[in-house]
This record gives sequence, structure tokens and C-alpha cells, in this order.
Amino acid sequence: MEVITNSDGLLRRIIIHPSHIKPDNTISSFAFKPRKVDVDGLSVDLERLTTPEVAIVDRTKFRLARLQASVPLSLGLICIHTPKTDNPAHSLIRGNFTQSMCRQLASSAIFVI
Amino acid sequence: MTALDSTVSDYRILEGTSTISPYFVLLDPTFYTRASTTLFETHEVSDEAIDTISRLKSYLKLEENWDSYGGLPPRKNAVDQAISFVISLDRKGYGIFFTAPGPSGEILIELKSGNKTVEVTFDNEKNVTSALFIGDRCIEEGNNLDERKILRWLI
Repeated sequence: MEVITNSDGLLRRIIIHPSHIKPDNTISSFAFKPRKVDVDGLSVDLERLTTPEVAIVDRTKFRLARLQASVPLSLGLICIHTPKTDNPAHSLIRGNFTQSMCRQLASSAIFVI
Repeated sequence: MTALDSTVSDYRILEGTSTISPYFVLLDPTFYTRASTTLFETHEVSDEAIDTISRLKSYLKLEENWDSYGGLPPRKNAVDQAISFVISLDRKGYGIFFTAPGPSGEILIELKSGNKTVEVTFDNEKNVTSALFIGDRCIEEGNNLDERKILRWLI
């Protein structure tokens, strides 16, 4: 298991239909909102263990955004590498997500695909 | 005497009807609210609001895992609440900036004016939360929906 530091990049798919991309081409806070039933946290991929082409899964359905790990860490959230058999880069952002935090994560993310 | 001349053409008598569902708007772009037992005020819903309502209704067709992260499909009561809010704002002349389904089946309605933004969330348990932002800075966040206060702050 890898340790995630401030310098790491975290990748998250952003759905196109229905769109989590707003008319001004910014990302909606809902794209970085975990499910209520998720005790685990918000799923992301650790950038250095994957490629954008793999992480996006399907270019017709998603765009791919990169979030610097320093952003969630600075908000008091925890980033933890939780590899899965089908996705060695799988990681989680854990903590008490407020709407404000989700918006800050979204506004700090940039599209890589 | 003319029963309905042009000055009252926005009013209609609907015989044998005691209540009108807001969903009527989906069949006819006219919204009725009861003004008396037999007289109904009508409000033309804007094309923009009709588009938004259609989009909200389309969220009901989403299947589980629609976002690839296990997203749950919205339920009808969340969509119903969001539609009522859209219609209410439309009656006051305010448009919607953005809508989206959420990972737990909730619905986001976002209003925007300059650098001020309001995010209103309707969940599947009929809870409503709202958050007010200037840029990305949160001014207020709570479990309520004071429409008048939101609009007053936004404008």
C-alpha cells in the first residue's frame, strides 16, 4: 500500500450524461460528493499507479479530472491507497464531507481528458 | 357579457376539479394554482423552465451505478421537490443555472448571479439543504430552504 502525499495527483471520472460539468465548463460539487451510505469515502485513482487512458474507462461517458492530493489533505480529509484486484490505483478520500468541501474539491480539479 | 375577455384570459374555470397537480405542467406548459373553489390563476411556464423540468424528469431513468462509482438513481419524491422549486422560481422570474443528480439519488439545483451561487439539494428522504457561496467561499450552509432569503441574498 502506497502513502499518498501532497505532491500526488488523484484522478476522478466526471460523468458527461447526465452532466456534472456546468455550463461555464467548471465541475459540479456533486462530482466530488460521496454517497451517504459510503462509509469508505470518495473513490479516486492514484495518478502515479495508473494512466489517464486506463482511469477514464470510457471516453464516451466520462471526462477525467485531476485533483492535487494537497487539496483534500489541507481540508482535513484523509487520502488512503486502497488497491482493488481490478484497479491497483484505487484510493479513497475519507472524512466528513460538507457541501463546501465538495465544492472546493471540484473547483480545484482540472480536466486531463 | 363576455365570460372571459382578454383582461382575464389568464383565468380559467376548470369544472369538476378540486386539486391540480403541478405535474399538469408536463402535459401543458401552464401551471395552475387554486384562487377559489372554481377559479384558477394560470402561469405560463417559461421554455427554460420546461427544459429544466424535462431534464429533471430524465434523471428518473438513471440506473444504479450511473456514474461508475455506484451512484443511486433519484427517486420520484426528490425529483418532485426539485420540479416544484423550479416552477416556484420561474413564477418569480428566476432561472436555474445548473441541475445534476447526486450519488445518493439527491438532486442539485444551482442558482447563480455574478460570483454568488446557491446550491440547493433535495434528497430521497424529502430533506432539503442549501449552501450559499461567494466564489468558492461558503457563506452559509444549512438544512433548510428559505426561498425568499435565498433570492434576496442572490440578487
